Amino acid sequence: MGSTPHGRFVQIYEHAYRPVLGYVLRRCQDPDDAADVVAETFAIAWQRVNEIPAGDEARFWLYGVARKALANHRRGERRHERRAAALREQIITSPALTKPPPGEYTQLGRVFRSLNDDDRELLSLVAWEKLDTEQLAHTLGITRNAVRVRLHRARKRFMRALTDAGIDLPLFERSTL
Amino acid sequence: MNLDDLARVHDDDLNSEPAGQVSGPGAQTLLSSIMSQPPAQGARAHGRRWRGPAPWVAAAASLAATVLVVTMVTTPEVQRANPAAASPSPGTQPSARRMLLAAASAASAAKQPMQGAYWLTTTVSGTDAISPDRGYVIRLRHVQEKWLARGPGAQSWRIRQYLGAKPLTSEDRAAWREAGSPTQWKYPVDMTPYVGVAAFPSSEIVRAAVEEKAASRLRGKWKGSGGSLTKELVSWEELRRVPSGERELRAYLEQRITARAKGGSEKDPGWRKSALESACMEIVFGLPVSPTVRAAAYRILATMPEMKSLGRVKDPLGRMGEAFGYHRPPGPGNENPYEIAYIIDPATGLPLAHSVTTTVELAHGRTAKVTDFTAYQQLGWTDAEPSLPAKRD
Repeated sequence: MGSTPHGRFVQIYEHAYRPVLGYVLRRCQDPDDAADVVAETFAIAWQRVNEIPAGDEARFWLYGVARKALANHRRGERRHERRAAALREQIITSPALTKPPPGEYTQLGRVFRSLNDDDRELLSLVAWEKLDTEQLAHTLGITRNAVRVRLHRARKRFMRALTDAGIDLPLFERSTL
Repeated sequence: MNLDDLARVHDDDLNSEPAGQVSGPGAQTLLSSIMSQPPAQGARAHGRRWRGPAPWVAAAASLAATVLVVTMVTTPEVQRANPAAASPSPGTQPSARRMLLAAASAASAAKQPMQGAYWLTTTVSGTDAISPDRGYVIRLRHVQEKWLARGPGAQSWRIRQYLGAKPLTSEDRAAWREAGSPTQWKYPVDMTPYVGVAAFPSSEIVRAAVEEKAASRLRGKWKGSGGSLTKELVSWEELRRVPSGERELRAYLEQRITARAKGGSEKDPGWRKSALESACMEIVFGLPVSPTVRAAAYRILATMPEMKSLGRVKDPLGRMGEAFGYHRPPGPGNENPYEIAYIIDPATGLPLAHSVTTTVELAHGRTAKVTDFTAYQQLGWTDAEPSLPAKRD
């Protein structure tokens, strides 16, 4: 089953569908767009099926593809694709998926959104996708050492921004990062 | 409060969501649609050469391109091949400009009830698909009523019915008879992306027969909303705040577009222009706004250089109207050019239909025009109550 591109792709899809959907839903401003981005991500993956790494690394690779698809989408390459219509319907009719994230309008949310894209993505991958250093290295295509350095800097910038916003630092240090 | 609270959803929560099920219709339709295309050259590297899709898939692929664009019309987010290059003039082509300004006057003079219990939109939509043997074209039709309740807490509804499928032209009918007058069409792989039946995810089989009406409650963000503007469902209160002067409306829409766009797209002039056009189309095609707001949207459209007049045309339901829109040259994703048309009733400025048309190749060297359309039968306020069918989604 897994030896042909078709069989292999189906396996990858079955494994990665939910995490990729989650990844995209957490980053789309409008859940209405998530189905299109998921479609775009897997369509690209299918086109590049031979480049997809084996095992769990496939998921990290797909996060990278999804991130680019999201960026394209934001740049205006957006469209409502028919192939994503059924999924879109499922998403937009779900109260849980269409309500704004609980912390969106909090001060923390605002500070987090004010971070630069790379910092925000890195911290999100830790907090939301629960990736460790090694997995981050695979996802971002950089060394573990580089991950540590970047993470350290991103956290520092986040802390500084939180302090500037008058948010109790140590609590956050303990609970989130 | 921590970063976790900033996540819309956690992967674990997706266990209990229909959208999160990889075996569900959303995920499966997507998978089969993606895999109905051949993978790129990469797949050949393994020495196992992809033999190419079944012949009808290739032909249908250009139709897929059509369908892809068509879905935009409900929330018309338009992406154009090369909008600016076509014409350097500061405004729409003279004839289109004249038509749109006339539509603006007609719209602002229109006498319509300004209030009611529901904003009712009844549409008939059609999708043309190639028969699995590529011998002829069939048209699938749906009718949909959208009842958006104005009262606080009142339930909004969508009532849909599949009107069946049949051969499109007399030529198609002849080819269909020759094929034994089938009453259903079975596609070898999931044909969903090509025939537009995504709302009926189980069907690799397209049936000729009419189906029962089914009603679904509009939930979530639809509660208390009068429709979508700049791709966001908006409340009735917000809709009342939409300004009716051309300049004020433009500023208002620009501001909404900026608020919605993050991550740099708000600085992309092409994206902004397309978003503004889409927003105007949302207003003209279906939002419950006053006639003067609709007129202002027409006036903004009249300033857009790429809009062309497509003349007097019959809409897909056979009603005479005037059309504007544009042609898209062939490009990646569409082998043949296609035409995007918005058809309005010049007497009232109200929408009749919008459509996307392209050409496909059939068997025996025949080519055929295929269209994907939505036609408006009713658009306005009503105090009537929806007659709900027994079947509910």
